[in-house]
Amino acid sequence: MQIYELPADMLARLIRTREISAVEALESVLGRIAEVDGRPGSLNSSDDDPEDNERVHAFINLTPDRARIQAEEIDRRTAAGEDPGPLAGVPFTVKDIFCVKDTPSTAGSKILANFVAPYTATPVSRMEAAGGVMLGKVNLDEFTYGSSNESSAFQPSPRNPWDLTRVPGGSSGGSAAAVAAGEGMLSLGTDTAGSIRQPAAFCGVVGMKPTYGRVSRYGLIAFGSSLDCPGPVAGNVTDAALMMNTIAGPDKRDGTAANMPVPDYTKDLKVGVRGMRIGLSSEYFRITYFDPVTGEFDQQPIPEEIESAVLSAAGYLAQMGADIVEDVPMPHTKYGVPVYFVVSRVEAASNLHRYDGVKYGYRTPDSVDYLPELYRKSRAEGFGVQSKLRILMGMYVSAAQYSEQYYNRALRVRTLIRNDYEEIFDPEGEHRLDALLTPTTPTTAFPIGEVYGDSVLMQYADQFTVPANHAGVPGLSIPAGFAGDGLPIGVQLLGPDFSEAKLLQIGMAYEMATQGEEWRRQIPRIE
Amino acid sequence: MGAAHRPPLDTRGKWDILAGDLENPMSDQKTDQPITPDLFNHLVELAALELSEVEAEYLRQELNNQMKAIEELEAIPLSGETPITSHGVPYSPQITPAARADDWVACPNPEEIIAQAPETKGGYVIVPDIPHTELE
Repeated sequence: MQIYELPADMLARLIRTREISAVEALESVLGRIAEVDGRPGSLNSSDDDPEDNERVHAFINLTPDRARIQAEEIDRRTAAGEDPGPLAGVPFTVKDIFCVKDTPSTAGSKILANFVAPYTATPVSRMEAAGGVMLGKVNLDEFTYGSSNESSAFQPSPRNPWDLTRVPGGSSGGSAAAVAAGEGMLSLGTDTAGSIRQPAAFCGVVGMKPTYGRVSRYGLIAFGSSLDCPGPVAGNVTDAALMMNTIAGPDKRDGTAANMPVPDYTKDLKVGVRGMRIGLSSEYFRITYFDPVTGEFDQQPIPEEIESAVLSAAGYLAQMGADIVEDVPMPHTKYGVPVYFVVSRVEAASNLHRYDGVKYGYRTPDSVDYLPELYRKSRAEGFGVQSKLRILMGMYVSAAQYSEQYYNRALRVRTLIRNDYEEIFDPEGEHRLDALLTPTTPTTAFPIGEVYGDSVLMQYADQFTVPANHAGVPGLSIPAGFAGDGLPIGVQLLGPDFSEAKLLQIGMAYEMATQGEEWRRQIPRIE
Repeated sequence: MGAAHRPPLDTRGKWDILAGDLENPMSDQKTDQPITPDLFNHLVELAALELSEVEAEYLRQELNNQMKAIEELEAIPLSGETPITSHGVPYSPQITPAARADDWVACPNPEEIIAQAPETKGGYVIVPDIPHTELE
């Protein structure tokens, strides 16, 4: 086994006991990146290089010199008998939606391509303070607007390491692809509608969307401020727990970071699931989508092999003593995407008004006479099509004459979505669930180019993940085998507010129960 | 790729279809679309954007497609008491961070912040003329 294949938990222990040096670990991972990643995403990549189709392209900006300084410091500290922290020497990547001081922080957009962050986001600084070694920034959908990574202004966009003709998912696609391909053990992602869990499922890794407010958003370039959640992408449940220990907690720089102590998520990971009540809901076994031809919601069942993976996971959990509760009603699940079309767009439009070609970022090179013309040209040239779409929709549904009809109504339906979860997790209620077990996605990773361009269809990739963002509750996606096409399947655990520890315990129980299965030994072949 | 992964909506030739629409101006006269070309142009102005013809028509079409899904929300019975949820997790006093003191703290590196601006002079950010407008 190569060093780059080690889990973060094990690597940190080996570095703290000086069996491996942080520099050795870094060089192993940098070697792997050189081998599999290919050229990084860039703004001017119109030349089609056939070799692009054989590489992962997780990165926008690799910063090896910065990483070497950090790794050398870790080794200096261990040599001096100091403890560099629980992530000692663990190479990790950061979705390029977080600011990291003195490095480009682009949000995958031309409008921020030349922006160098003047400060560091709290989750990143916490990982570095815990001994983590930051490798650089990984690609994403522009401003996180997408579920495939194809909308990034920095091309080539990331590929799925399990099949380089498929998307890695999104918007934290670079994060999930990097972890799956051995390009850093951990990655810091964000989840606004499923942007950690969906790519984690597509790439066969673990991804957690924490409770809203559990992890600080300070230094995160905002998309939907009431929905955005930073969280871990990792190779296994233990590593995700380790990362949660590091990034969670109050932050005086973020007034929405919940003032709650952080438990040790790794402490009782192996406690098991005996006596836990885990629900299944039929609403998560069919995809409900809007048919523009008939003007009605239509339904179709999810693929049988994805349903089987969820039921198999339920079977394992039952064998270990969990009570599986069937037919849990989640009647408002199908409204998650329509509500998201309104709420996220209003918040996106508001957040994108700051980009104007004046204070920082892109300014049109054309000579213009008046300030409004500068705004229009800079924004027109700097934003990609998905950003423009969100700005325009946000303007429309929040306009004074329409906001009652659309925005306020969507916020009220959001209450109904929240109520679904409150009812099933109510300790005094009928169902009294500890968690809901669902598929993470309705399909496995789709081919590059198949969905991109249809903004409605793309959004429905998030149907099973977006309700948790509306409700604020935590969710964990874990690998659960492979479909017949060789692509990973993910299953999702959703729980009540601040129940991350329990979700990780359930995920750990499933991971241990399936450790001996043949599919656990598969690794992506990137050749 | 098996049938299991087929998307539920037909997206074939989306961009081709749009290009076809542009060649036939009459196809713009769809009365069942809430976002008409005139309304769309107004939104573009409010959003401080400029769009090419092809880009504009693609975006308008996508907005109208999304509006069809959004309009489904109108069919949901809501009692007059259903409150709005502005973020999912309720912030009880126990978990709400205390407000910081409203202290003035100098920015430690104003020159670095100003240096990010595309055009500066003597510590000021330079912009083109701001036209005089009468407020209505």
